[in-house]
Amino acid sequence: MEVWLQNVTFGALVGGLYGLAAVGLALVFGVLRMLNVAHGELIMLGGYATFWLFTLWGLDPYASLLVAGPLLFAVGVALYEGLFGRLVRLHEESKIQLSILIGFGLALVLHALAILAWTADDRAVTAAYAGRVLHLGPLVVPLTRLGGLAVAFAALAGLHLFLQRTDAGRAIRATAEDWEAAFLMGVPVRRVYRMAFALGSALAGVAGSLVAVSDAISPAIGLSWTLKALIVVVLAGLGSIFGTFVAGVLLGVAESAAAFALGGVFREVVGLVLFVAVLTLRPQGLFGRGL
Amino acid sequence: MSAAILELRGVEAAHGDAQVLWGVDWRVRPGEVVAVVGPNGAGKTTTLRVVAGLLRPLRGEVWWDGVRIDGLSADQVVERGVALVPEGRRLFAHMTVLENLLLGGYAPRARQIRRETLREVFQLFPILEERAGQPAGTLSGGQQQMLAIARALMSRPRLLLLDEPSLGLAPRVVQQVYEVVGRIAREGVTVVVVEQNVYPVLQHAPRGYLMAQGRVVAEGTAEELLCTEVVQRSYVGG
Repeated sequence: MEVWLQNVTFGALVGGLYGLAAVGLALVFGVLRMLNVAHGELIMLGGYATFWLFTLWGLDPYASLLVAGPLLFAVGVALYEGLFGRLVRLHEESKIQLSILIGFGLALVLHALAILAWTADDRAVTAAYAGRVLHLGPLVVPLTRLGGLAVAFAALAGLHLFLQRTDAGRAIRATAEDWEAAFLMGVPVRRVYRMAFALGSALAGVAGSLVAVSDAISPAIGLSWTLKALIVVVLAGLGSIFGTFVAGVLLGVAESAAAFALGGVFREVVGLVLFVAVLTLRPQGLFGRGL
Repeated sequence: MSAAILELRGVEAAHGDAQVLWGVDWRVRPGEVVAVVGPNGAGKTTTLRVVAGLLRPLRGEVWWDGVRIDGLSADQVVERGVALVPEGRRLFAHMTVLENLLLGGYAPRARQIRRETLREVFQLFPILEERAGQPAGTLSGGQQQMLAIARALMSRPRLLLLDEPSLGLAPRVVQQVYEVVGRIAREGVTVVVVEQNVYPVLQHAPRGYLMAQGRVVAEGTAEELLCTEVVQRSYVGG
């Protein structure tokens, strides 16, 4: 029983990161109706930012969030201006298709450049507290994982407040619901698109920092993070930040439960099974309101 | 005729490859309430979209208050005091009534005086103040139309464009909508109302245009338009 509890706890901690990764992807998809399949590569870049800040200058990985987030925000602006922003005038269907193609190309390029620049080795931020654990009764909780969950939750709470309470946030939500009506209200829709894309990228950067400190990074991690994020978005449905976070935690728990009960190979399988099951039985997602 | 404040000269426009407007001319004087009627597919909605900056015309000019506004984008047009209440209302259904109104006052000029405007709008539509915290999608059809108009007023327009405001509403509610439009016009706002259903609008607008197949085919007083054979033919399916 205790082993089970330990596994579930561990899964939930990892799942918080899945949730954070997914919210960035969902924000971009919900507002721009574009699927950025290079989202995982942006997570990878955030991870390297934190790794090098720590390795070269000894910057604490949690402090480096404040660099990785804004840095990836800027990368998001550049990617929007240079690539994705060119698609906004297209029809819904071609917009999704072309954004996926561009994302794949971008993912390959970023992957290759990362190998050239930083080699294909696995890297991890080994802060002084990296190995420490917290004993909660019978449970053992790695400190960095707990920190990751807390940061993920705080980032999403901040995003929630921004979207609900500010004019800029309302403009983003209005654009997601009906961009033409938002345009008629005086909302500069293109600037909102750029903002949403950059925010989604910044969230990827923050997620990457957390991956670097609680797990390991390499140039190859992008695709698997994109897949996790995609599974969580489908699981949750669009329209709810906290729903997405909860779905991430659910996926994490399901993965570690499957790995423990059925064997390690089932860790990856369970996510895909959930993906297909939700698409078949509840296509709007567990917490979504549909498009 | 005194100088027009809104003038369309030979506006032509297309949806994709299909041209739908073939030289539309409108002249609207300050403070007028003008009806634009005509059958489905006449180009009424498209013309409004051109004026509001949602669609760029192929040819022709749109002048508003001495400035040429074709070529401006929708957010720039609303900043110049032109608001469109689109067909089907297009409320943000998942957002509250208050959030819809706040978004209506998003443009920079309107945002500076948004609190005052909100108070005035609530005076005009007390029901919206009662329902302020409710999602817009849960309002009745008539209330939604009122909210759509109220949201447009939040931008402090001097020209209000209404696209099919009576669509899907009971006659009694249509009457209420037009009473509100009348009050707005008496405040000095210029109003253009597009309707497929000619009778209510021509009771409230003294003058109008009849459009068909992307052109203005007749122009005159409400009585003239109602009596025009073309009206008869357009609606009896000639």
